[in-house]
Amino acid sequence: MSELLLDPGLVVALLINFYILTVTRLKQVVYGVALQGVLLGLLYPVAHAGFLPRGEPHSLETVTTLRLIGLTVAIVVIKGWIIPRFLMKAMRIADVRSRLTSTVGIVPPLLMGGFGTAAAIVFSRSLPLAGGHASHLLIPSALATVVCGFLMLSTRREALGQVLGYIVLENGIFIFGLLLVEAVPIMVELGIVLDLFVGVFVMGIIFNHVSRAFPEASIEHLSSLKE
Amino acid sequence: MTALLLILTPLIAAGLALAVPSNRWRPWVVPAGAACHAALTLTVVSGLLSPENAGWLRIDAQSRYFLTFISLYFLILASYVPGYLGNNGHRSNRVLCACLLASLSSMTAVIVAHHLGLMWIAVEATTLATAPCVYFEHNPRALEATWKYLVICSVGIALALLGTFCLAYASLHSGLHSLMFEDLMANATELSAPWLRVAFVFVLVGYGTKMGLAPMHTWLPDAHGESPAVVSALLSGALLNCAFLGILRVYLIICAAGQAAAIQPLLIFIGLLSMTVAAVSICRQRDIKRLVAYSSVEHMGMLAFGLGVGGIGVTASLLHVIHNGLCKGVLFLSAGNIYHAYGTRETERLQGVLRRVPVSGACFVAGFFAITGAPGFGPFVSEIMMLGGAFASGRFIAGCLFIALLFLVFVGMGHTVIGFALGTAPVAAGTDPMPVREHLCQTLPVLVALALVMLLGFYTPSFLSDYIHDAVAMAPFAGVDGRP
Repeated sequence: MSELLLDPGLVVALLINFYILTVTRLKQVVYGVALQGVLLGLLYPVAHAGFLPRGEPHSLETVTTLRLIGLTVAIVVIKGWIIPRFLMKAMRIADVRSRLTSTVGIVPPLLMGGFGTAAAIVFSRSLPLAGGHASHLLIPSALATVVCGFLMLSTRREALGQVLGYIVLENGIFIFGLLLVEAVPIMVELGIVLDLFVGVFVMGIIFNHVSRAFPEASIEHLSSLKE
Repeated sequence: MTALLLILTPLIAAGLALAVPSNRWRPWVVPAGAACHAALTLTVVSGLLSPENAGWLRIDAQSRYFLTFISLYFLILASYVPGYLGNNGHRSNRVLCACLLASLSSMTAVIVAHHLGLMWIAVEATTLATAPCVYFEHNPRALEATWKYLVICSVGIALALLGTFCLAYASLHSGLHSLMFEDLMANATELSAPWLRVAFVFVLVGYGTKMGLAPMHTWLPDAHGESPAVVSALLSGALLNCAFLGILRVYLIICAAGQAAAIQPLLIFIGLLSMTVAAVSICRQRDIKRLVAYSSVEHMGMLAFGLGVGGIGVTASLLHVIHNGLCKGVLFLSAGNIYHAYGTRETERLQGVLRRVPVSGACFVAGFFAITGAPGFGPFVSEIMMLGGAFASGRFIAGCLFIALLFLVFVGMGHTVIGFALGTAPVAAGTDPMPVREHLCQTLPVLVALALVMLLGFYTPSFLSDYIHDAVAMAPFAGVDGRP
């Protein structure tokens, strides 16, 4: 059951990576990132159920189930609603251009994203999988999403584009985290989600200062400090 | 419980700093909070209050070592804060005071967290707590520095999270299901070796970004240059070392797993690269604070080099954490005093510093000699040990490069420092050529730090060498003896 849902979900997440690298309208990028976040949040309980020991009936204790539901809701709400809303608000206040521009155009990052995805698939074959982890897509898609986030971070000219790239990169790490539902305690996971959220929040505040100080909040204005 | 108390004390003080309405009295909350933290730390490390070592927060030898240093170092910096903010009375210092204390709290959390996931959370928290401090001046340059700091470090630390996850997977792979440092150390040989190596690369890049290792150091000179003197000293002397602790813990696990040989060349390479980048940048640096910032990049490279050398090099790296930290305190705080007297950080416009600000100027020059490894100061001891380790392990080329880079930094930094220290103070229109009156509250912390650097040049207290010995003894291969 879980494999039936997990792998298609990851493929969709990978497709969203390419969508984010292609579109230039800021709103569409924010929606894309939010959609990816919600998708990953929903994959969380799927992955959790999939990694229970084989042979035993899949009966979770009530407390575990409640925790699972709570964390899923928290992830979906933070990634799919609070962060996008916050970014949209920052966009409105800052009155930024509605399009993202890239320092190297659209096609090169897309090609590199494709290349990165292929490389991630090849590379992850050299890493041993633990028994019971049937899905071979988790590690490649995690690494590929990290690469795409990194590409976005390094090629987008606007400050907001960098924040969005950072969120995509975090999503990639989150996919890797799906492998670890047994090893990482729920408190730690919650702390990580909270930390990322606060990180984006602080970035948003500084972004507001950037947009007030410089028109269009383009990081090209942020280049006076150099050797 | 004790460890939790250590984290909470500065956090409560931070809340208090937010609540105090007076801009004039608020800075005093920082030394008060630091003093409480230092007192608590001393009772813990002296054994009066024995911490129960169970759960995620524990105080082991490494924690004791780093905790003792960071708590006392923060106390020195905190005693500088009221005098410093008294000079900048026009701007609200509410956020700065609260964030300084919050950063002490998060640094303590990094040190006592033995669950590697929890440690990651704490490292990210240190970035978030210090970012508003960097932006204290509220000008476009500070804004740029803060943005770079926040984005580059967040991305770097995100990669460290990926590394931590890889480590968790290695543990899962061997059926361990734990990310506790102790569990990983105890079962290190059973962990999956490919995953361990991948984990270390990500952790090195990730925490290395925060530590300021080249080529991920680009945020460091900007953030150190644009933030207030006390924040630069905090970043350079304490925060970078917390990131180093993150790398050290994973390094010890790798050593215990018998994989040290695979990662040591990487550490030596990245260490020498950082030193090279720093040496080149120092030689043509015309900004006094950026000069010291690049020196930080150099010394972080040395810490990585020491780990790469192994054996006595690991001991030297641990010792160098304290030596370098105290020197950075001396250099940044006295640079702050010089900046205050001259109103500029450009070395070409600084002249006759020794006459204009005699105490701070002399401290800066002494700090320069200390940090470049002149005999009689702490860093000399640890650098010689590192070099000895390099030659003892047969790494002659790396050792020779290390010496050459030290020499290059000495010449480059010396050229600039001696240039502005000597000479007569410029008599600009309307300025007083007489020495500027230096307040005791701004020179005493510098003098205390300098005295400690000189003391450590001659004598390493036995409790420090005991902690280092215990910390190094954890890695079975790494210590020849471990005792400095």
